[in-house]
Amino acid sequence: MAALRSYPPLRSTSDGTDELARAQAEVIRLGKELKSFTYSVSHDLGAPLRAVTGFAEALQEECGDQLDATALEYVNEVRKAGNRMRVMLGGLITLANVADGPLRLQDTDLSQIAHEITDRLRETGGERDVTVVIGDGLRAFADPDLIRLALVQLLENAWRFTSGRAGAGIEFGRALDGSFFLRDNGAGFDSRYKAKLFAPFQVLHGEEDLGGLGLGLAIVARVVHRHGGQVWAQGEPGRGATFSFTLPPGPRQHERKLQS
Amino acid sequence: MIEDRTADILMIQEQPVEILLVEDNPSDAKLTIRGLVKSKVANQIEWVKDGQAAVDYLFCEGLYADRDPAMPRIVLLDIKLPKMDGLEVLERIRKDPRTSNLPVVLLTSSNQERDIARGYALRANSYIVKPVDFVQFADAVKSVGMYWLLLNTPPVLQPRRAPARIKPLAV
Repeated sequence: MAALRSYPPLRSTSDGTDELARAQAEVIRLGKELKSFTYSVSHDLGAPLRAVTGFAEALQEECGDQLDATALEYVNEVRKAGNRMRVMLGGLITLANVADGPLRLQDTDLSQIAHEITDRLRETGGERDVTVVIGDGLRAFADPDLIRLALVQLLENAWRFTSGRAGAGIEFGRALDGSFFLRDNGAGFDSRYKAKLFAPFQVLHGEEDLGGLGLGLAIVARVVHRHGGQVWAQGEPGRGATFSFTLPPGPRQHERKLQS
Repeated sequence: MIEDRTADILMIQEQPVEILLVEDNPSDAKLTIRGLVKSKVANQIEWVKDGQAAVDYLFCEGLYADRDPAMPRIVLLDIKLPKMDGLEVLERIRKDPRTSNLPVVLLTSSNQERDIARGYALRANSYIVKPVDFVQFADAVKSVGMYWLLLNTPPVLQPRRAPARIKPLAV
């Protein structure tokens, strides 16, 4: 596992360029160390976690008849906590992969990806009456795998936060300024916490109510930032949320942006 | 000759090892064995905890000099192992004519592209990333066992010792 080291502070020199180059090299190295740290933490934790949930299940299956109701309930709590941790670990691994992998930019059809994700949600997301509107021909010059990851997080969030609401609605479209938006009329959030939304492990709603685990929006933000775009959110408690992001519209603009 | 044939008879009675499990993590090993036994895929599983022991077992050396020389039908091999890592074990298996065709399934927590590429370059028969979810893990173990022990036709492996020249029995 990579250790996180501390580095001496920058000193001012007559010629600042050496210091700057050194600082840049250190930032790159720290970034690499942090990535490999996250990677090994998330992978090395997998085996003990599998043991916790695995033996809890073995206990239930093989010794269940020797346990009373209270004991069985405790075993069940162990399994539930283990499963929550597994989802969090999966999110951490995804987050690390988003930061790490190569960016494969190409003309990407966001509408089609959103339709595919919605179809899957309708199959697996339980009996729900949700109106989903997806704008036609939403395209960007982007990495389709990463975009899919971000849209999965956004659509799953919208799906989850509109549960228990009559006339639930989700809309994915493009605003006049060219930004993409995903809007729902679900639980919403207090805009005072807007800045915290995109940081890892920030959960505004109680975990138990809505099942959020605090990594989805961090993944969205990282995907968008890797494309050089911006992401922001608007919402009000009980009145839904809108998540917006920008992506480079085409290869030419994108190249120009990278060169400048 | 007589001793050899006695050994053959004993071997059948003792039931040969079906699976060699090379795994340093005792929890994973126990869960793997439980999955295989519970799904009735295999009963005879030999578990060794490091790469050197795996090589010793397969080539009947060291602690295993006197073991029944029959080869397991499949090796489940972890990559991150003490003493000698799994990929080095695989390399040794492939280099030796006695085991060069032995089915080896890499069962590992690493999904690093470099390990996957090296595993296949060394002719691993499968590469399975252990799911963190226990139910999926148990399913994976069961499927691997079913496929390699029940569905797959195994290669004919050469015996451990150079084959003795036996005259055909006169009938």
